[in-house]
Amino acid sequence: MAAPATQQIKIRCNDEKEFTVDRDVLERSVLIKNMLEDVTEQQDAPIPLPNVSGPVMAKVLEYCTHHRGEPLPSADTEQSQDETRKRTTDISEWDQKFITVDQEMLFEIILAANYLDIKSLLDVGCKTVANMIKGKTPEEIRKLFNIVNDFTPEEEAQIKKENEWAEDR
Amino acid sequence: MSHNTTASDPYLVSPDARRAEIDDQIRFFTEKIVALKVERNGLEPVHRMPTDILLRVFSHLQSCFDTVDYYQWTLVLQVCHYWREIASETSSLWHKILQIQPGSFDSEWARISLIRSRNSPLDIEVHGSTVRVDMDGILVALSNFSRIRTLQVNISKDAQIPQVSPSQVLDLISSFGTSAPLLEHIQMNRFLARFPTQEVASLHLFNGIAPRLRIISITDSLVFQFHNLSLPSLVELTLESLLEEPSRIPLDSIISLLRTTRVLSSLKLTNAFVVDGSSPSQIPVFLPRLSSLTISGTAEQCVALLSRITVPRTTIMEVDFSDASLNQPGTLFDAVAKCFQSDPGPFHLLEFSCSPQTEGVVTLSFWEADDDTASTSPSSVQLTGQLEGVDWFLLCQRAFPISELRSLSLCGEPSIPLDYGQFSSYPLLSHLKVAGPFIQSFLNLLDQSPTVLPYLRILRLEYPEWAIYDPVHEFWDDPSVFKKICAVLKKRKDGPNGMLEKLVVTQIDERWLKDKKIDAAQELHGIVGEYVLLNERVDIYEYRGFSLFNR
Repeated sequence: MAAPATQQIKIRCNDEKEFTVDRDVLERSVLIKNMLEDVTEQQDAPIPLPNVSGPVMAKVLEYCTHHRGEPLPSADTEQSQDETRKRTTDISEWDQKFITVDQEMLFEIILAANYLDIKSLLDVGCKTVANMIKGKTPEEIRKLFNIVNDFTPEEEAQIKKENEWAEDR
Repeated sequence: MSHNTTASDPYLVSPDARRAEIDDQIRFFTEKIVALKVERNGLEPVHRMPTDILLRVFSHLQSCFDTVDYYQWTLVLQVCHYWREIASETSSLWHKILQIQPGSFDSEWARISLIRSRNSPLDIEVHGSTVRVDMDGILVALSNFSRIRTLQVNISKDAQIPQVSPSQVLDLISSFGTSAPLLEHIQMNRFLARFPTQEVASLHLFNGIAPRLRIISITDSLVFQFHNLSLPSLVELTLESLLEEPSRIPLDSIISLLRTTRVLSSLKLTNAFVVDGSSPSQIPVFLPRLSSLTISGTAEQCVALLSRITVPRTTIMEVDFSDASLNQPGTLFDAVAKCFQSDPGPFHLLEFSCSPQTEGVVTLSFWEADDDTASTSPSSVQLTGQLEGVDWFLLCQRAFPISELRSLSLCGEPSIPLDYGQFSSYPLLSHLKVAGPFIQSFLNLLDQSPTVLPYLRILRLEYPEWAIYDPVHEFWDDPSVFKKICAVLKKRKDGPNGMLEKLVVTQIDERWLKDKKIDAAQELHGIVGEYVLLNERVDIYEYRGFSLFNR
């Protein structure tokens, strides 16, 4: 007996780019999952995703396809992780390769993961940024993200005071 | 005040006025430059991340640093105005108060964290290594007890404990007497073990209740009394006294605490209490969720505790006693048996493993097995102590009279030879694994008493890899042993019990037997219904697990 065909869902990004994707892949996104659960009848109209562009969605779908079938982190898992304060910065090999993109795309993926409510992808993105920051001086971090020192003189004085201990080390 | 960027005529105003005007303009332009820089930064991709995502990044960053360099995460405060504002103002980011050494970078950040955390829950860690312990820092941190979520104090052996003044003593003790509504985890290791106990004894710990406290782990530390303390959420209780000086906590105090627990799953007590004055006549405390019980101490201590509690049959128990033989009447073994819930439940598989000569350990494992598979983890009792010459079988039968036992595994070293009477308590036994040095003793028994175990259907003789290094390995290398197996099974078959359904022998194969001029098929023909010779080594882990019926 042939396996039942997987339901295909159409989505439309903010640049009008459309994707037709297996439902279980799309349901990695809690936002879309909830949307689909709310719709009782089959609809042919694509789901609009006004906060995500086509190229970013393509990356997000690559991630969702790779991780399809894996259990979704429950609210409890998230809460207990917060409670134990035991976040880690380990990222799997595949995820690491996947997230090796330019900064613009990295932050777009993070924003998309946040909007689409894909916790695991959001974590991969945030861990990647944390790993980029780790071990760098403030000046190096500024250079990395192309930002400038915008402290007021009062803030500069406060920072100096806070770090007198560090200089004594 | 308006900022006029056009300078006044320098010859018409006084120098002071002109100076003030210039300062004003500098301030104006500085503010303007800062504002422009802030705006410029806002255009960068990293600044498009909303606050909650940035906080997530900072939280991950904190986990990148271990105890030694934890406060390195605060470098984010020096990057830009936006990051500094977010990090400084988010109280939950400052939850961790770490004290490593007094007067250090960490101490200063601990002080700042305490302020910036405002009313958020606190996780306090104190690590005293080869440096002095920061008692002042500890006291300041503990003054916020009402919002402490976790408290970990680990003082190493060689840490120098500063002289504690009488007022500090009172402050420290009284902090443990305040309410602890958020406390979830308390761990103290070598924290003021020889602290004067008079004040602590009268302390009403946590003001009587710590509703969220899940884990207590106290080793060689302040001697708390647990009377009148209610811990409904407690899951894990570990009290250890590893110093030569014995603990001064009365057993009654611990029992009174256990009565208030509902979900305790792990209890570990090492020389943790004194038995004097305890009242064993009270109804034992039932610990319905207990899955692991570890007791170390004198046999008297172990018996005293075991006679005051009742645990489920599924509890994994380790008892390490130091000073008595189990052959004495009214012993530990009976106490172990009695503390289990009276209903034996669906157990029908018992593993019996002891090695009195070598390690002095006996393990009794109970499986809740379905049919002939033993896929679930066993619950077990492990006793460590003076075991030589103890008739474990007899003790086991007395303590665990499971007359319907169907499956039994004998592993380790027999302390006395097996005999007919030992098996009479388990008349329905149908599956038997005999491993290692027990094999020789079992073959002798079958030889002398062929009618033993009338319902035995499947027999597995397993020779584990580790036993190769044992002096008895020569026994297995002798091909006449196989002949003996065949001979005793033939004797059995010729008796009223008839033929065995299946025989499994490990670490032996037909080729090896052929080399020794033994034809296994011919030897076993008509003696057993089916036989399996496995030429594979059984490693010690598999051996300790149960693989009798799943091959």
